[in-house]
Amino acid sequence: MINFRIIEIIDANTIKVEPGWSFTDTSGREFSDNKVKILGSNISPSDEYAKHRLSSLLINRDVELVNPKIIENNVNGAPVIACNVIVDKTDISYYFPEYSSKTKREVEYH
Amino acid sequence: MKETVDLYAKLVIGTFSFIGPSFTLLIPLFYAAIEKFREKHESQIKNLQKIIQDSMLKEGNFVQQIEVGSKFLKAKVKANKKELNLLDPKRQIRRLFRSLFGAILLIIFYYFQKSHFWPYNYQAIRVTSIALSILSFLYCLHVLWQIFCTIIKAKSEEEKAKPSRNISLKQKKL
Repeated sequence: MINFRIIEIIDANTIKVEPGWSFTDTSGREFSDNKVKILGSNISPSDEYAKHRLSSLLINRDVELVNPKIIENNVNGAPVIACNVIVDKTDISYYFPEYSSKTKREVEYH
Repeated sequence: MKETVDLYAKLVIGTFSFIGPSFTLLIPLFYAAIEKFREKHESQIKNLQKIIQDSMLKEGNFVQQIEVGSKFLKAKVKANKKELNLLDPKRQIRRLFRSLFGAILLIIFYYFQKSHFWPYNYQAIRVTSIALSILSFLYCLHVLWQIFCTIIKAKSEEEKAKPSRNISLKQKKL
């Protein structure tokens, strides 16, 4: 597995990696960048608490990026790819149990 | 009733003779998967504890979110510690054999009460010893079930983690 180092948490579901990634899809289109959206994340990008948790977990850690999905019609500057982020053989969503779709309904924030 | 107790005694002794060779085969066969699974749980606990600790430092800004988040994270830590206990072969064998020996000793006590060496004739004690033996044996089956489920989970995690199953991104060439 190829590892990438997380150098910045842009928001609660977007990260910046080093070195950058490259990907060729099934139709031969090539993509490359250093920003990745976290796949399967239900978290709002403006959630500062989730961003803080991502920072404490991921900054300067090596991760694996698997199951890439191209984001079509993305806004200029936004990531073009979404991936599952694996840290220490565990998907990052494991560390956000209160944000899963089942528990989100039970959690109330004032 | 006598035949039922005899049948139950044979069942317990049969289970006892089945467990020894099963464990002798199972543990070396799945040792690698169990070790990887254990490492995964240990790193999950470490990461969860780091998140909880870092959240406490930021308490001023996200009080309610930290309270709710910590509750969920601590539950995950507890679940991981439970899984780690299930992945400790010595601990599980101790649990299993204690309950099985307990069941066998209680059956032996039942038969001893029926012999001429036992001067008393209390039906209640005989029934209690058989009932406790059955409870002990059911607990032993529950532990066996937990162990088999853990081994299956460890093996399936090992299969899922194989590199060929996931497409990963390549590093950009500079």
